[in-house]
Amino acid sequence: MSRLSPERILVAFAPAALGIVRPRDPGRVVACDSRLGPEIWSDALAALKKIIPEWQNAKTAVTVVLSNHFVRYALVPRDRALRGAAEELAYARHVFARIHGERSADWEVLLDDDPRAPLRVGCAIDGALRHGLQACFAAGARARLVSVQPYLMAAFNRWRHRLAAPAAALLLVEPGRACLGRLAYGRWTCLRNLRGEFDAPEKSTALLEREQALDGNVPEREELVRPRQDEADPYLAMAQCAL
Amino acid sequence: MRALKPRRLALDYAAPPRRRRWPGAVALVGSLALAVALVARHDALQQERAALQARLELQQAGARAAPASAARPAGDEAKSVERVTHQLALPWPEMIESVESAANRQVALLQVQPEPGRGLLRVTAEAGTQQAMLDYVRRLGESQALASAHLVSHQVRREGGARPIQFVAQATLRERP
Repeated sequence: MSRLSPERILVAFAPAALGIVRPRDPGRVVACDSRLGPEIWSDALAALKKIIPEWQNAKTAVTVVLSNHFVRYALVPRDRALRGAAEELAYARHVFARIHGERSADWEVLLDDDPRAPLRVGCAIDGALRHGLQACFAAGARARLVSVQPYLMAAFNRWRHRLAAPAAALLLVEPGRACLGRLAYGRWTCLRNLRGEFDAPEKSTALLEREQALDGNVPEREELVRPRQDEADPYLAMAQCAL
Repeated sequence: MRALKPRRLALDYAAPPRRRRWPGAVALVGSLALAVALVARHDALQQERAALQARLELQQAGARAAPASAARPAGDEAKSVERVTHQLALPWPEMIESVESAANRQVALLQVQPEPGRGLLRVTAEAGTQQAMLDYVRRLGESQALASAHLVSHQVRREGGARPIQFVAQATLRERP
């Protein structure tokens, strides 16, 4: 690596642990102290604050991959009456408010900008979480926060070449949660972010069958992409998706 | 329905939103086209400059060579110029008078041809009799501008006429005092 370019550090940011991956490094998992703060992400944020001083020896570019515990998703239908990104984002906020009620008022919402998609992915995180993450990295410090992305984004962008099939599913399993996205010909049809333990094969298979039945769409063959299958640790697998 | 490779998801809370690629691609293509056009224009200008430079050098070389050429003419053109100059320098009035005064009713001039390089004058004329021809050659040699006049050739024409003998005489130009 060039001495001029900063070293990349990928951090899986989850409630119970941080998975830290550097290129050409097996990575390590840092457990979070439990129940230190009022929010579900408070423990992880505290762990991150502790570890950042270790990265100040050299220029580093830090990417944070947010666990699906901290992110809400919605598929936002395209409305041709809307003009401009601001109106579309306002509509996405409205969709989240309709689903989650008043508590979504403090969320920071983002909407994917795919112009061809009839359904676009919107996501929301607590505004305080984003501010907390940015506050961990002092301005001018050698460790710099360059990306904060949901696990879904990291995994999708890494595996999207397999998701162009006539029917495909992306299943992201982590401790205590599973996120399942389904696509037809590369277009989103369904996106669920569910609490529960789905690590066992029978559990994840049951989840897929249930979602297919709920959608009323049971394809003969569905390409299943599950990044974690061949990885030892779910947090390291989560971080490595952003490589 | 055709399978499409899905676009990358852009849901980053820290990085600025990814801009669309096509304006950049258009700008890139336009810049490349402009660069190619500029390179082509540059080459054309270089060639034009080289041609002008060569023309200028030729003109300068011609200007340097001109005085020398005038002093020492070379080639057919120079020789012609030299010949004309010599001819203009001949004592034409004296020569004409000598040739004409030597003629009479028996002799008619056809051609007067000076050879300045050799200092000679060649005269072609017709004569009625052989004696008239010889008298004419003698008078030519006694004239003021000419000397050593002699008969070069003569022939008697079959068709006859008033002056049946055509002859060529040659004399030396006298040096001017």
